[in-house]
Amino acid sequence: MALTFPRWLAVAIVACGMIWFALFQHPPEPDRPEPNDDALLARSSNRGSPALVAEGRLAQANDRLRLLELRDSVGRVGDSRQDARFNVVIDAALSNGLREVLERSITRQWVALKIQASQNRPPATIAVIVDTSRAPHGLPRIRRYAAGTPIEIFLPSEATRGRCIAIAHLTSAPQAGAPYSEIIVRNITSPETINALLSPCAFLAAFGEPGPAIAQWVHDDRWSRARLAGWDKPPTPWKAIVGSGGGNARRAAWFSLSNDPSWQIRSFIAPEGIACLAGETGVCQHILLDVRSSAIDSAWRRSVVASAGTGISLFYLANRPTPLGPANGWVVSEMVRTLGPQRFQQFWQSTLPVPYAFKSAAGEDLDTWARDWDRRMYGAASVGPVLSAVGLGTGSFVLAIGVLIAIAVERRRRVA
Amino acid sequence: MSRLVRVVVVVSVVAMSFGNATSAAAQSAAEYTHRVDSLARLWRAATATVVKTDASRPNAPSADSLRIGMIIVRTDSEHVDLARAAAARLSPRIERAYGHFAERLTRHQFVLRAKGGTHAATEVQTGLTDSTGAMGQRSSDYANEVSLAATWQRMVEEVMTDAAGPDVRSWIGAIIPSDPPTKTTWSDARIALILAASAGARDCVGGDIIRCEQVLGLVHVDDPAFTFFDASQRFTMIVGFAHILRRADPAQFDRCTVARNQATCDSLAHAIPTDAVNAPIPPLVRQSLVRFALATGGDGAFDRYAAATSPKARLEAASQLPADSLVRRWRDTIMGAQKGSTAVDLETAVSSLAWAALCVACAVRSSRWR
Repeated sequence: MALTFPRWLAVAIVACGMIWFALFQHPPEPDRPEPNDDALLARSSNRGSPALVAEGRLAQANDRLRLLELRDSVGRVGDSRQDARFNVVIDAALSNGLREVLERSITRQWVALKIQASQNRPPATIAVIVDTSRAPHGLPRIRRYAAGTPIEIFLPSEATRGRCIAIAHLTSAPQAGAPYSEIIVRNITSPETINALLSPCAFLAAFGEPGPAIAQWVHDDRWSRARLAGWDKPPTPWKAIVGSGGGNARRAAWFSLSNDPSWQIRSFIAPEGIACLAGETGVCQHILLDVRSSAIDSAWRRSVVASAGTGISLFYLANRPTPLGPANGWVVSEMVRTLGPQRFQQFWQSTLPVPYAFKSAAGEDLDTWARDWDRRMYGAASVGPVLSAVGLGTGSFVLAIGVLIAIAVERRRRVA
Repeated sequence: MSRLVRVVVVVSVVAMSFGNATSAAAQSAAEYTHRVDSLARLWRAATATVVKTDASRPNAPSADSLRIGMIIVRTDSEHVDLARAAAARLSPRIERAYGHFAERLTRHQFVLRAKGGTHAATEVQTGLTDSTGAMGQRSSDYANEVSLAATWQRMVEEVMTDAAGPDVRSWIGAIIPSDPPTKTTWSDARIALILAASAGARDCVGGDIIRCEQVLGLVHVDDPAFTFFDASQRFTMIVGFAHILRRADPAQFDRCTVARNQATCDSLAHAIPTDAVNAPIPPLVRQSLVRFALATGGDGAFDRYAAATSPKARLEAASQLPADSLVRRWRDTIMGAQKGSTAVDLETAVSSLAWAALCVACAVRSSRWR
């Protein structure tokens, strides 16, 4: 069969169609069910003998029993206080000076949030305790790894008598002269730790229970976008530090890739976040709402939020960029600040899905708001090929030299 | 009840209890007390029935085994000759490097077996079992004695470094190689020391032996950020930890990095735990000092090194020299070991320029337009 032009055309069209189909038409990915708690533990602790497996589970349950005992103890202290709507409980094992600083910082931030006391809202108890027990009840214990100073927030429930209880726990009381005691004091009193201690109790005390879709969102997200309660003032932007690329930029040669501002930001922001900053439609809303529902440990997580303040352990971990960057924990606080308490409450208690609830309350869509927030924090970013100023300057210089040489040569030429 | 049946019973009971525990929505102390009691009973039962499961061992060693020197190999009959040749090649090196301490190696067994699959003829799988029989350091290798001996040598170095003491690897930041040091070892250490981004290392290069002892970690330093690094280097370190320090207190961080307030920067430098402060020298430098001490000490050096307790005592025991003398000799050795300049020499420069000039001449004197 001769390959005539119409046949070539037909073959080309079919081939293009096949390529298009192969590249862009994928069957929908089957849902991958989240492994349950046992499967999760199998990855880490089921590799040993049955005794080790049992010990791992026992140690986790024993740690949680200890936390519940601490919760009940702190809750009783809270109930007994005169001002039962909000109170601060600081362990007597801490020095008087540190206790005063903590109590003052926590109370000051709570007052700054202008939370109106109301009988309809859950009361809050914020506690900082020293828990030195390594083997409570004479049994092994595995403490939760928190990547920072661990904070457990027990959401209001029947077991807490409707109270929201946040507990930051130290494994030892900082003593003068002891290793890292100054750093521990600095970490437990840092603005980040204070703000983390107050959330989510401050959100619940100020705005009540969230609507069902919002509640599902913050629960699935483990309250990470609402980790910090600080809507009293705008968070300071990261533009300057993100633009400098952290410590790497100063070590790198001026012409290296890691000194390129469009590359430096990638040390802090994951690619989806860059796409958001660059203005890709829908991406900002997607990364804000992209939280996976998980069945792992769901019973515990339904009533206990695992959070963290500033901690030493972070210094030993590599910094991993995330889509929302290091200001991730401020997102919901910024919603409160930019929308104002009334409109935020309308959003918070809405029965609509999150994007619709936001648009209804804020008057702008969530994607636009998230992009504005992202750019306030990190500055705009560009994607795609960009000629740097240094590259443009060097190229122009070389071009000019070439033109000058060509002109000089041309002037000396004589055509016979 | 057979061993296997016991294992199955214990695992099933534990697994069933996990399932129940997971599904329960108990968040009260009373309910958790009940759960902890149940799990504690199971744990005690499981602990009482400690069963070593052969099934959990990834590679049950085959029947054939051989021993050459301190090297014990378990392999199948197909690879006996290869194992023997590799072991014979490696054994003298190990005994020379580690002396009597090499006997520790008999607590481990090399495993060599066919890899299977499409590369079965040319590749093998190997690993090293520990005293419990669990195999670690698994790797695939070419089925020849040179390659296999090199792989086993790396495994031995890992094992011997850890056997010398838990602090050894953490202090050096690397393993102790078994090969005798060469001029390249000292030259590489010299370059690493010169290029180290710390003021302390620079002082050591300049001949300050006390500073050398500090950066080598032979004397305790309370405040490494201020002892080893100058203000500019500390600033770089602070900016490198921006994701922690700025999140903790943005106002304070910006006072240091934007307003350049030195007191605030010093305060932030103190917020970095001392063991998270960057090392003033790379591991290669400390590794070279250990190798120098072992080479200086001669016979039994590694035995003495392993028997001592602190990094300084280990080095003094191995070399049989006081630490300051050892460090002085080591520094003189590495600073005197130049492999030659890496700068462009005259011949290369002239040659490059000549070629460049030729290209320019050809381009400029091209044929006229016709």
